[in-house]
Amino acid sequence: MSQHLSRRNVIRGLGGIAITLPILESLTSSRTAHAAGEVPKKRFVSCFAGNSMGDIAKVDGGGGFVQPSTVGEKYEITTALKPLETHGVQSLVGMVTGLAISRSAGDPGSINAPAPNNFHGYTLPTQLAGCRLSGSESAPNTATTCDQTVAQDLKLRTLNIRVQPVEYRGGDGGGGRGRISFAKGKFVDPYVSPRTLFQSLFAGLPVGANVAVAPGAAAAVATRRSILDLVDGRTKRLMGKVSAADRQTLDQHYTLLRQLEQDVSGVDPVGSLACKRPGDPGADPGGDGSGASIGYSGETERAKVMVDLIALGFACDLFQSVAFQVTFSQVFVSAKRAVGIDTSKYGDEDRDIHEIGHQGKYPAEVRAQTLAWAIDPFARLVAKLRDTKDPDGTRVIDSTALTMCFEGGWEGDEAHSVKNMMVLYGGTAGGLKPKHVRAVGRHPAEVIHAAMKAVGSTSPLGDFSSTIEGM
Amino acid sequence: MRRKPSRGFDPPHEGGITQCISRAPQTRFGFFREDAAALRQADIVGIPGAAPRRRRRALGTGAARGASTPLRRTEDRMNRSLVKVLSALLLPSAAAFAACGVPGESSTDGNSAIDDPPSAAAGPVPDGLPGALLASRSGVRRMTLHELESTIARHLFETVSAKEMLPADIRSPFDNDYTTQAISDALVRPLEVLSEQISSRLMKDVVRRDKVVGCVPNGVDDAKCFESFVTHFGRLMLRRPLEAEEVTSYVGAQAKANGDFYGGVDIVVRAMLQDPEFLYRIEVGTPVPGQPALVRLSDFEIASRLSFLMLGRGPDDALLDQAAAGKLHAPQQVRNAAADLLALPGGKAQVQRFFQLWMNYENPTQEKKLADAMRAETDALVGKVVIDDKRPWQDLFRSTETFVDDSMATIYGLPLPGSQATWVSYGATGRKGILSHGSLLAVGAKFGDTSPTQRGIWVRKQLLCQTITPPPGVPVTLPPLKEGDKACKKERYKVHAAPACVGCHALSDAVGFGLEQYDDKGKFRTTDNGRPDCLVDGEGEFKGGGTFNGPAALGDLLLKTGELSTCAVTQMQRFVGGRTLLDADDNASAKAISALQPGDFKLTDMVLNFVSSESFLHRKSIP
Repeated sequence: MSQHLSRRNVIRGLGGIAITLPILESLTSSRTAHAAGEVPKKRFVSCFAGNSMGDIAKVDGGGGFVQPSTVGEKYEITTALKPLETHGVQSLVGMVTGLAISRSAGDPGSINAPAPNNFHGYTLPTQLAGCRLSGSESAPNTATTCDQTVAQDLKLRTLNIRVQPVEYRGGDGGGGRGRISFAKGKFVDPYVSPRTLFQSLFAGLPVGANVAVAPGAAAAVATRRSILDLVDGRTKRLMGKVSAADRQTLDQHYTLLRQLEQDVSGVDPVGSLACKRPGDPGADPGGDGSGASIGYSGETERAKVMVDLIALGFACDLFQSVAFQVTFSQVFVSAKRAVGIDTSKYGDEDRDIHEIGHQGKYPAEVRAQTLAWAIDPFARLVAKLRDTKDPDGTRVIDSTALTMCFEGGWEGDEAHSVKNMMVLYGGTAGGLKPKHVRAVGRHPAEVIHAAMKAVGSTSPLGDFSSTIEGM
Repeated sequence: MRRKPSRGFDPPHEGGITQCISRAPQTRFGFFREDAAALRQADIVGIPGAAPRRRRRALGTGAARGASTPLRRTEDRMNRSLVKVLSALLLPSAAAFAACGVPGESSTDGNSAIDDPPSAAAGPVPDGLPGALLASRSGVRRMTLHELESTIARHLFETVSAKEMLPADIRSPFDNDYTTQAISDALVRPLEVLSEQISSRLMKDVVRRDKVVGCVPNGVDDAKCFESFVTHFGRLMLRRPLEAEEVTSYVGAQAKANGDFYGGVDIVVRAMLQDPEFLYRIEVGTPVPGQPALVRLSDFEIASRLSFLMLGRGPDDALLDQAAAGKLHAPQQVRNAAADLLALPGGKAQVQRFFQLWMNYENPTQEKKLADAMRAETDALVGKVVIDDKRPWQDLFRSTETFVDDSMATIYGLPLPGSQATWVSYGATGRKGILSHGSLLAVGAKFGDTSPTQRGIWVRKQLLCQTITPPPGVPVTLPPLKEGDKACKKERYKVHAAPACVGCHALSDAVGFGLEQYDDKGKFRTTDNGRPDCLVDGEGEFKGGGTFNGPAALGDLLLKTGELSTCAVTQMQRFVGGRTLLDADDNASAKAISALQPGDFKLTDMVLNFVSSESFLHRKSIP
């Protein structure tokens, strides 16, 4: 094992010895981990929220609180789309509306299953992997989601995070409702703790050009490397003693361990001085456990930290393809505490966002407010990427394509609908043109596939090789 | 061989019902439709009603079976070679091999043993337990977060909350289904952080540190003390004795700590916490001759299986010592050890956890204080009936008393116990048994109220192991309450009477409405929430079983079906095997266990039957 310790390694060895800087301050520099003048890699973000639309456009006879009545670049900002205005990113975010998922078994990306039985688990893989679902399975055996497909095509590193830490209402892991990334049917678990994400990926970043390396830091790095070297050596040896299937499992673990070891052993990237360690976000916001019927664990604050870390990770080139789940399918998050809705006006002490989506006594505008809450992190991320520069002076947003899809559409009074669905897209990578596009009856996966192509991915998304025209 | 069909619940054959209900693993006659082949095979290996078990005499010394010594390994190789030769000469085919009953009845790794006599707590291994050929398929199993936390608490004397850092386990309903476990960056990197944090705290806590190290070094380079620590701590963490080269490898950490003894300890602790053999339960075993993919577990692997099943954590010194002494090899030995583990406080807690996960009251959907009180009530009943009183587990549904604090007593309309929760009689409240508990009546609540549909599905799915699968393409929606909606709840649910819906909803809703006089906290009511004009009669129907009113009567009905008991075995099979989707051999194994317990039975006896079967002592690797 090499004994070379780069400056970056030394600082990574510091681990939790973080200098407390506000995260935002550390993101202001335009310098990144890339070599000066190097063409930045493409970046891709797949975002998901477990809301349904809650309304349809005015042109379709609805209240118009979600989908704009006007198409093109200067589309109407509805209640649900307010965050785009708040963060000043309307020109960087577009949407495709009128989308639908077929319920006929033979159709591409169809759901041949009853509604509402497990409805909440069905639309997620259908949209994000473009696959067909039937029976009671919510995660197909062989499908791969867009974030993983893009990563495979472009050899990118992935990050998978979820804002809502637990499902509430007795749930915990959430199965297919709590995981939006899988490869060949195998789920990828998300980071759910901003603090753990910071400690795992960011605590070792350089703190800045003029900060002296702490005494003992080199030894700390050496220790860490010794341990990882020992563990991955043992893992490799163990793989030779087990059956083929078990070896496959251990091999996945080994690959991730090797990646971690390589990161610790990595060399300083050229021009990394500005890729600074963010301030320690501190303890995660406390909150309700999984048993809470209607829960809140500070998701609003968690989302802000996670968005900052995604943007910083892009700037530091730690990962390039991100699965970013805001909420579980079927959102049991408190509408009162998260969104600030005065549920007492409707005779309720509190209500979760999912139930508000159902209950007719909550008007369409209120339902749209819950959607706006879910869209806010997406808009915030677009703004962050707009304000972060690559070494060549271009904005990170210009090499990024983002999509955001939702659990369901809306039909009449029906929350469990696969009609009138909407997918947001953002960024300008590959010539994406953010605007409102109506594509009645087209599949949400076609929007995502268009974004994938925009960053150079060449694979189809499940059943779909087609894209939505005009994006 | 013929077996008497169990009394089964007759599935209705009307409308769409047959489209949406499946009863795997059983048919109405108590047989396993899809398991016919496995049953035939089971008959061959003599599972139920097989010839009496033979006490097998040791080929070797029978001593120190698990110990990894050169002498021992030579002996193993010789014995394995002998079995292979005999197999080749006498057992030309797998079927013939099976017909001899060898895999199902004895050690198959050349280490047949003189079995121990039954302990008073364990009782003898009964005839008719599933044989080795019915062993579960299994692969690498990651410790659940609960198991990880419990093992760290046991071996490092620290309570950690791993679930705040590592990905949560999927409940299906158990948290140990290895087929749902994912290996991801979100596991590997935070585990490194967690290991550093745990070790850092340990190094600062001298008392705990010295307990873990187990000796006091006489200098920074005390190699003997360091090796002693590595050998002992390594055995606990990896659940087997370290081989000499492994000890050397870990002892090398001391050198990397630049002369700091406890720096070396820190390295070992952090490395062990990330070691794949700590994180994953890996069973290599010894191949069974003539049976591809079937392996006989080593005694240390049996110690691990037993400890994780019975205590929810890795084995401690006492159990590992038993393995080292060859006392965890033969079925009776394993049964005796399991009975000892059941008697520990951790054994009781693990039985309670099994019920929490099975019946979905681990986290009742209420605010935390009330949820804790609900869980405590049901845990207390499970602990008392199953462990303390050693009564048939079916008595959970018959209990006339319950363990309540003021909050639960208030909900139930019982006298307040005061400062401490206590056992009280249900009295004339009409309640009886576990189904009257708030913890279970809270299941499936939605829209701020009970859901008859979800309650019915829970009864069918969790308690009877049925599957309700609506026919595809049915666009049904739930009936949410709307502004100005004047319909009572029962009226609103009539939308489920539509031809396309009624098949399944007749199975679920009709059961759920029988519990409707108890709200989502378990409080008795006679009208819909906030609707005094909407009377709730609590009349329910269990299709094929009769009508009932309230949880007490539903409990009586479920006990009569017999399916409740069969389902308990199925759920235990899932928990033991760490896999929700059972295959034909698993179902046949569960069937064999069920056949030994035709009426009421002690859950502890069922567990002991599982662990003392040859199927528990073997595994099939996944192709």
